[in-house]
Amino acid sequence: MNEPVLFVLAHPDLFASRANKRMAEIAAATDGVRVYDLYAEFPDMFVHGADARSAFDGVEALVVQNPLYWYAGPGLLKEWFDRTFIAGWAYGRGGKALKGKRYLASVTTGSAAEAYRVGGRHGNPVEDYLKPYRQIAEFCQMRWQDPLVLHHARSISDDELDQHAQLLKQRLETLAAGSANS
Amino acid sequence: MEHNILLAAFIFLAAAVAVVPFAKVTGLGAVLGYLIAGVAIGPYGLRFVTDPETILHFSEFGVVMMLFIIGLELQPRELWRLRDKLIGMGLTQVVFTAVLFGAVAWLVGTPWQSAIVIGLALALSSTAIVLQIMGERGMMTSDTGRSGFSVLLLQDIAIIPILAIIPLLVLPHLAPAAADAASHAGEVAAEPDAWLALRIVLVFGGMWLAGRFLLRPVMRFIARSGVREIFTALALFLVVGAALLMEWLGLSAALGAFMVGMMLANSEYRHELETDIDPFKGLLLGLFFISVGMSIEFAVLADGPVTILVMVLALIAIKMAVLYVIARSFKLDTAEALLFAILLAQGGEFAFVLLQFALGAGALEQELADRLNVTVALSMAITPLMLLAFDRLIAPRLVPRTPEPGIPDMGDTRQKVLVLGYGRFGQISTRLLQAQGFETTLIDHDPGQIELVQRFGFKVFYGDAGRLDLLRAAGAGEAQLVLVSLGNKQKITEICRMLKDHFPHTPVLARAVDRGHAFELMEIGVEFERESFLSSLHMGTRALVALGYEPHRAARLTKAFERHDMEMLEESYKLRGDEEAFTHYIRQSRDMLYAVMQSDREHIDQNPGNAAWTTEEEDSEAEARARSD
Repeated sequence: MNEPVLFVLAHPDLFASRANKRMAEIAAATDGVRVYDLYAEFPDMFVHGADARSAFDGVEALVVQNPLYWYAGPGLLKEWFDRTFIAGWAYGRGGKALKGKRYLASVTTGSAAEAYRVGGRHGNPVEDYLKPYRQIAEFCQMRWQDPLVLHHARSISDDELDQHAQLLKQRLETLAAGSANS
Repeated sequence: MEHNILLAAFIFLAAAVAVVPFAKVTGLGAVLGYLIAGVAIGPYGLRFVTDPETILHFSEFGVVMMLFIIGLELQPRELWRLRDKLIGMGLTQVVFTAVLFGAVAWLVGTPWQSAIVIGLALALSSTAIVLQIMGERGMMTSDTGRSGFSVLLLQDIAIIPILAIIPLLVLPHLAPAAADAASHAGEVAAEPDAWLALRIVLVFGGMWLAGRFLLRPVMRFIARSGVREIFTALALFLVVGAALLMEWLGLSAALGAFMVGMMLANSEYRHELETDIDPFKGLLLGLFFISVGMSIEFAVLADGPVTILVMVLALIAIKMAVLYVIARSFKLDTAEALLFAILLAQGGEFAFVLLQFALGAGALEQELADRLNVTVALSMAITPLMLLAFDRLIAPRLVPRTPEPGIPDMGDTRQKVLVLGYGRFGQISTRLLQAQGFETTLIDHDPGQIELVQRFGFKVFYGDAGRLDLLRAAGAGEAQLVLVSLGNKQKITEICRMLKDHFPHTPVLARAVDRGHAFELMEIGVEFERESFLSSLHMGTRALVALGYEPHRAARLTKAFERHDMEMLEESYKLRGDEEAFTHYIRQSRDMLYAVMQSDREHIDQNPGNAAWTTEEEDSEAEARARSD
């Protein structure tokens, strides 16, 4: 089956996760989406660059799903970028592998939305902490999409979690359909 | 009959072979198949066999063996855990059912002495039928199965006082006849005197001591000698011996076998004993069911079909009602309680024994005893039919609780991981699993190894993991995973093939001794791990570090090497038949490896920092801690 959307999941303790697990499940149940679980692909955190790059065959849109730990994605996500998005492939001379593809960041946080503002507990709006990812996307000539943020992921009600999952599903379907046309 | 034992054996086996598989395939179940076979060859069928009593008595030994095996599977600790059910369900069931039946019998005009006998005899269910059916349906570890087993076990214990009571219930006009029949062939009444009590204490004390101090060394010695059939002989010797001792004491032989079994439940030879006894048990139980089928007196049935029919229905209805209420009060749901009630609603084989005994003691009239015998036999024959009806008609309507998917059922008493070969290799993987709380069944065939490991407090069973029946007894069918970690290449391959053939749904992880062995395992289609591969790789990493490489770089290079080697293994597997292509490939891949390592080294050394920008040091120390989902 054609799977134009690569759903990169970065969560080190999936067995204990509530929201990210749910998002991964809904992604797996969406046509045209391939779930790529980083911690399962590289259980000892050694990222094999060539292997990781081969996952992009036929991919038109990238979705990165992760919780925010210390104002960034979990460590393996960074290692994955470091080893996968190399010169000559992702950027630089001949680096066109990612050009034109859409990039959707989908993150969860532990605190309520109020914590993420100037003067709040976490000091800055959550978009600020997504800036490095936005810049990675733009540096590699990808098209940054409006990010999906789920605050208070452990505390919200099941209904709210369901609603967010449906929202993600719609976004994934749009990405899959959009990629099919382009 | 006695003078031609071969002919008799031939008839029984032929009946079993002809009818039972057919009954099983059509969904009637093996027990009903045996019963039908019994009717077919019995006095009211083809008349091949005319004296079912003798056979019945002989084949009751199958029940004895079955209880021995149950004892083996039930450690005293577990029995203690069942105590609520034993008393709450078992005792309540026996007392209430006996009182109800006794009252009914008394109300229809039976003398009160006989009414008590009838009540007690009919309160018992058929251990043979129920356990056989529970085994067939894999119910032994379920809540319903445990409850059923508790009731049966208490019934077996109850036989002892019941046998002691019956001689006190002699009917006045039968008193003289009773004197002649005092010594009945089967069970002998317990004379309630001090000497008997002393004997009981002595025998059980002796058995306990022997089980603890004598049997183990003997079994170890025999296991070491390597003469397989002597181990089987020892197992049979133990069962027969226990049964004889119990008869001497005037107790139920089945109960004695159960106790001996339980004494050996902690022993490392448990699975082996079970495997050795099992075929004997199976055949004798089959014979037992056949003789029950044969002993249904259709003449008595023909004399008063309506009376018998009413008796059978009353028997089953009253038992079911009591059982159902008990099950519900023990929190089984509707479907479980109903299944429990149906399972135990029949009369049991001990009813025959008790009725016979009461007849001999003069506590019962002959005519009534005949009718009761037919009633009990018919109720036994009806049980499988009622279960069939339950499965097809009732169960689908009572929607069972849907189990939570993905959550392993840790309440199950079956061990979850089976480890074959607990030597240097198996130990390490097993310890990791045990630390995670997985229950493991460990099997090894080296008595020396077992002894050594036991000194460290681990429980290992003795046995030849290459035997299918042993694998089955150890739970290969129910295990979540089987680790094959023996040291012998050939044996590993054999076992893996056997597991794949007979338990295709159980995942297997095997130890591959070398590359060629890995190919064999790939061919069978089981997952494997090469035995010294990772440790030598690790040694390579450390060598690189000792030679001055940065540890992380050494580790990455090792990773790349490992990956390449795995790929090569799979590639060369495809070429394994073709000698020339194979050697060519090996040579080529050595060059390839060099190239890969070279590029990997370049890639690894090309660190992500040499990008087209310079990074600025960021304020990395945020004050707030934000660890989210």
